[in-house]
Amino acid sequence: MNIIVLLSAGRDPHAGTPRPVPVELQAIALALRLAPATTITGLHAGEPDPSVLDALGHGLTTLTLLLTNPANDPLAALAAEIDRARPDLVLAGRRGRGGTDSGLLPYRLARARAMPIAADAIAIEPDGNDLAILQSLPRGARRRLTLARPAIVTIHEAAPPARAFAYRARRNGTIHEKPGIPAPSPTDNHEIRPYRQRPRLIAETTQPTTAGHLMLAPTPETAAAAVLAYVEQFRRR
Amino acid sequence: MAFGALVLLAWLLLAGVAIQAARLGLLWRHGAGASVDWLGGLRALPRRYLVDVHAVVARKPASSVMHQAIAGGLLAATALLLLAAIPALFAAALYWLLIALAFAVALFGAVLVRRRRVPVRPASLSAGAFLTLPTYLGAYAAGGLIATSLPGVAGLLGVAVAAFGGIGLVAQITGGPMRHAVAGALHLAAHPRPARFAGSAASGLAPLDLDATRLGVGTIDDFAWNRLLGFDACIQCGRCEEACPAFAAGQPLNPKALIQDFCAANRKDGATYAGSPHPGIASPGPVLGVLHGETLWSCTTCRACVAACPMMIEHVDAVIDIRRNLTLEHGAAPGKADAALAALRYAGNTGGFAPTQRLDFAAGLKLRVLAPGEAVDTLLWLGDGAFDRRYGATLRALIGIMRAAGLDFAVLGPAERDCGDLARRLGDEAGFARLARANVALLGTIRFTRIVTADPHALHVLRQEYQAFGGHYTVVHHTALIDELITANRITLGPASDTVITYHDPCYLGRYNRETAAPRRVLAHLTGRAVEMARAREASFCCGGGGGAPVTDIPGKQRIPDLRMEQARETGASMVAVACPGCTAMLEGVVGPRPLVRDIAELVHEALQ
Repeated sequence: MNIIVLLSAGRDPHAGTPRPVPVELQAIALALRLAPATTITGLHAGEPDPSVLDALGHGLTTLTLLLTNPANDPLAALAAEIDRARPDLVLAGRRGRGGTDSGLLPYRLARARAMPIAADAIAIEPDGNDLAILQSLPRGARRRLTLARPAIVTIHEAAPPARAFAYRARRNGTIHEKPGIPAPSPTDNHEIRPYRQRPRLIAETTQPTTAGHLMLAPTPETAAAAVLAYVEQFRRR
Repeated sequence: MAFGALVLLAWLLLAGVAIQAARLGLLWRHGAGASVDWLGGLRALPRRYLVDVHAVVARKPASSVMHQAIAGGLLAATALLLLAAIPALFAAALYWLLIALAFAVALFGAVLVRRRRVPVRPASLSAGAFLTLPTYLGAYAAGGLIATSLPGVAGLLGVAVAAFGGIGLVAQITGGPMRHAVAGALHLAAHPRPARFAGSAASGLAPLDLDATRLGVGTIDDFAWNRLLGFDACIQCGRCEEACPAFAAGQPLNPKALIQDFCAANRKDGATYAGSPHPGIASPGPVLGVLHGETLWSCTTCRACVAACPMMIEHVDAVIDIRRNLTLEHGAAPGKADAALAALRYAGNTGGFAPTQRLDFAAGLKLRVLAPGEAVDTLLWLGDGAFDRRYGATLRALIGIMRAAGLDFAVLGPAERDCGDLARRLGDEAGFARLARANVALLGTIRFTRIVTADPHALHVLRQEYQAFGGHYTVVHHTALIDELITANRITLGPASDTVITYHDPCYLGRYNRETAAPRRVLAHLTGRAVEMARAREASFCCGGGGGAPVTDIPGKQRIPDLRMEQARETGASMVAVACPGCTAMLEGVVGPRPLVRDIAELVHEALQ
């Protein structure tokens, strides 16, 4: 089986340094259960980012780099490479995690190539000409799916652990560099602003509540008055 | 006639020794190349044997007497016999009296050798060929004594008995205990770390060529030939086994069996080992065809075995060499090692924390953080203990002491990275080299006269192991700094308490850097009732926190810190003074009623006036 694992230029969530996306490394481990290492290729559109190259240390032996500006939209370059390589299965991470990894890319790719896509797989097995997928659902629930090949599958963190990093494999891995297809980023005209913690909205319940009401951006005076009124309930009489 | 036959026997035995030594030499040639200063080594051999080796042997006085009698008697008698080929000496009656005396000493020695295992063989001593050794030794010595003192047929009978013993001994050179005599002498001359005889306490870990085809030791032939020679020098005296904390805790590591595994791996006929095995694991294993990975990952790199070995064998360097292969080529470090190494690779610290969190422990202290180009007298190296709130308390105490003394000091803050100790001990030499280069480059951007650290692991790496990366620094442990401040009257302590305190030597301070006096001097200012554990100073028992053991977490029957705490309890101490973040964490992790664990910096800070 011919498998492509999509790799993103991940970032360490704490240090901000280039770091492979953990769930993509789990995708490599899952691919290695399905097929020999020689039929598995890592694929990245962008620059030779250390985070992508480090995936070679986790069981991947070959990596195709489509050289584009990292600010570009990688979709066209990736779609063209998938047309050329004709994989049976494309594996990807499931959501953005702070690097250039976008949770939408696998879906855009599936739409662009009219391939079926399944999300949050924790196990994949060949099933005749199809793929049997075990999907992770919230609260530990599992669901079996069958997908026709070729398909795109995103991997869930509950999948088996990634292979440990081995320096020699990272050093000896093969990297194929190819020119990518430049395309403007679909996010170029988006507004980018720092993340702001939003108050959590809790659905109204029918049960009578004894405490608390939500105040959005109150003035200091009204907030203080509310706190005092609340504390007043507990005052010893 | 008996005299002539005896001299002939001595020369024939010498020829036998030469043939057997050559056969051993062929085995050692399997090993990788190593540059050895033969001339210097051979010149230093008598001193290394008589001073360095016997200083270790003499820690057990009975063994010392035994070895002096048997080795001295045997060598003297045989050497004198060889020289008796000179007619003038052959004719001298007094000369033969001397030979008889030497044989008598050797016979006494042979009796002592036998008494080591008879009637009761201690668990740390091997059986097998060692049980026949006293017979051969005794036969050679007794036969020689008879041949030199009795005339006629009795004398000739003595030669026959000596021949039986001598041939038995020579036969034991390739496969038995007598290998120790030949390999031991050559090992002392061609030692892989000759600096240790000059008092250097560093380890023999050289940076790896990371572009090499083979990384670390993956087969027995990857060891340098003089390491293979060193393994063959082992006489299986079991002192490493008695010293090893992992063995004591029932983890699958016996340093003595480990060295014998290496010897077996270098031979086709395999194992003839008859001592205690690696606890709880069936030999042989897959690593080098003889070992299990668990055996290698159990090592805390405390070097208690190296310090205890009278043959100066370097067990720990061999363990790290194989770990390098396991980690760099196979990613085989078990447990949480891969996660810790990834955290080091990407976040620059073992916990994967944001670099800015390194200063969280010092909230409100307004520490001076050095920017590139700035200068300071004392650089305080925080180490990865800074991320731990418990050790943060120790660092706050140390900072309080340094402020009280009016020291000009600063920290690197978020720019500081882990020193790489964990990466190197876990075999990730690539990760260590990356951290070392980054830290050396960072330290090159600022000016300081010395580094003070409260972490002995960082101290050792900065002081000894960064030299290969171009970093040469004066590094002072905080206990040495406090000692210096007290002596110079820059801080004044209140009156000593009457708390019974025992001091636990960190391996990387005591054994790796031979600093055992300063902490004790400081402790003497704090309490009038300092007591010593049975295993202290260079014989200290590890807390179990070194060498990445807490992340690889190989199960045993007991935990190493529990054993150490039990040793502390036996002294009757109500407090254990420590001087290392690893020891603090390991010993404080001991559950149940136990002595308090406090860092020396905390005790001094409380006693400040």
